[in-house]
Amino acid sequence: MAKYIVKRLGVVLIVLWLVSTLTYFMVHVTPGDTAKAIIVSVYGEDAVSEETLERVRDKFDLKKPVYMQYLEWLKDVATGHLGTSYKYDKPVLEMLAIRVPNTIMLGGAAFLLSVIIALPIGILSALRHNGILDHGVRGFVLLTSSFPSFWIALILIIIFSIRLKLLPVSGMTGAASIVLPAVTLSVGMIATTTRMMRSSMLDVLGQDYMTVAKLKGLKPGKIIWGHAIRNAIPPIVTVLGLQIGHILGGAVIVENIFSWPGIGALFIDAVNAKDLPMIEGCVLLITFGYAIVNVIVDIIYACIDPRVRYTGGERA
Amino acid sequence: MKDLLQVKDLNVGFLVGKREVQVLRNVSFSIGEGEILGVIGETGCGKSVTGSAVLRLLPENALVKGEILYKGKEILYMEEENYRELRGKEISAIPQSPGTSLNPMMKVGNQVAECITGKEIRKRESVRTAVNDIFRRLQLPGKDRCYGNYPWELSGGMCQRVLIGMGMITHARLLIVDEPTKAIDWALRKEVADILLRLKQEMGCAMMMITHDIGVASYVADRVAVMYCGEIVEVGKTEDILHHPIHPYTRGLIRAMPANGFEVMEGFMPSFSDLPEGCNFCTRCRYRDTVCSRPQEMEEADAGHWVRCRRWGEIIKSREEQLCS
Repeated sequence: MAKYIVKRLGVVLIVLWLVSTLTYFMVHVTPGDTAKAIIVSVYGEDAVSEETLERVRDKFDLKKPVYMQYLEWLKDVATGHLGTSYKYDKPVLEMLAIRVPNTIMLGGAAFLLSVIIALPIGILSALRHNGILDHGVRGFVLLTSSFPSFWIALILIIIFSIRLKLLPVSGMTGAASIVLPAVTLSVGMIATTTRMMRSSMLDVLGQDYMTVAKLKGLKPGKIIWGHAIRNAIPPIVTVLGLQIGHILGGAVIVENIFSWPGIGALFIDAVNAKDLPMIEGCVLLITFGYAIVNVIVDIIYACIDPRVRYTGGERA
Repeated sequence: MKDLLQVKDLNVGFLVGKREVQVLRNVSFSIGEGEILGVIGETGCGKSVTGSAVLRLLPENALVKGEILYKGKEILYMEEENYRELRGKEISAIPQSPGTSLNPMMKVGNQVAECITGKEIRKRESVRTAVNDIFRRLQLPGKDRCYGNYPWELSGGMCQRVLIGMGMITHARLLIVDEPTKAIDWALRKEVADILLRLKQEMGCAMMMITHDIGVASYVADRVAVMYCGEIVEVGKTEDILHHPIHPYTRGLIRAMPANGFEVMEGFMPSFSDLPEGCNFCTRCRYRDTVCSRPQEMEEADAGHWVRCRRWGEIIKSREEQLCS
């Protein structure tokens, strides 16, 4: 197991390098002058002049060839600090450290919400296959998975903030302000997870060993808990792991709509300013988060499914 | 012999779309205490449906008519909760396909233990001992060696024995054994058959053994019922059915056994939605006559030997003539 984890972490490193390098050069091929973008985003259009441009270029070494800039940035990353933000003139790591807890809070709330709602509904709808609940769930899943999250966000704001005046429109102001962004972020996940839970459960319910459990004269509750759910959960763990990726991606949009001061908002801001070290910082963090979550999912999987045992490479 | 299980005029149909497809027609038989009834017939003749009906495991779209009595008590229409009391304890089953009948996420020992812990409160240790004892009797590695294994760590034959263990551990009076030798290889066949025989001898357990393996049926069963197209066409003592079969279908089955010359019957079993009038076998039968297009009743040809063929008298006569010539 230890050997397996070390191996997986090695792969994570390679992925991080590939993703960040790709991002680095992609930002460079996008049109627009970096120095100009920085000045515009900090001081506004009027501050752009030959002199200020020159100063910014000198300050951030923008005159060197791209590959030299890249190598220096790589050296920075390898030594553990992610460089300095062009726009804020502060260490990237410091800025990320402020924003990360907010995103974790939002993502965690959305994740919990989706799990608490999706798992029971998925299970019940499989148990009452083709019942009223099941049809309702299928309709709900189809509907919500085809709504874009920005649209859901707007509808929620109109209903709960503007009409009912129950919740704040945006910003991070107390506990109530997390409700709308978390709900928006979780709607898509609820749909996917409910559907997967339902189909996984239906699959298990049709298995021969379920008939055998019934044959033993076990009580229905024991059959469902001990045999059905126990077998239906492992595939869902994988889905939940992938959902974390959905959260990280979705957070970029949702945080911007609700002005939630998390990584997503920071990321869009950095892209607009062509703030390369900041962009790279966000990309590295999101990629790392996603990759680590998936390693953790695999470890959890091995713990709950006795059929899965990881070894260093050779099969157990 | 007292009847443990009586099935009277059991009719089962399945609702397909808006049409009902009749799968079992007037199936009647009984199993005495400690008796093994072999039910043979080709795939799709309704053997397993009969077993499922007794176990009340038919799917929801099944339409059931008739009577099933266990120890004289009606069980077909009784409350599910009351029937659950019988399941496992009185009526148990050994399912087919050992590969898929065990829960892959649960240790096999616990799966067997569950059969008794669900029914009665017993100390954990004594349950474990009971399970290990059953495993030892089934010649599975004992002393906890097998208890902690998962089903996918065991071979097919071992899984089959674990399933038999589940059927045994509750000391059920009636076992429905569905294709016990289907998923295991030739060499293990006799072993499983021996285990079933020992079960009967040591625990006095009655069985309904559903199989299309005539060899195993003749080795284990006291009586044999032959099914064709959802009907029992012949039933009697094992040696009568095997050595003096009357119904043309049974005769065809026995001639088709490799040991008896591998002579394959002509034609195929008709579809349930398109059965011939009168005798279901008439289109394939070489004794076919005008009486065959009329409904056929079970008639007693010999003591305890019943056959669903109006021409049984002539068939016996022609058989005797063949023997004389």
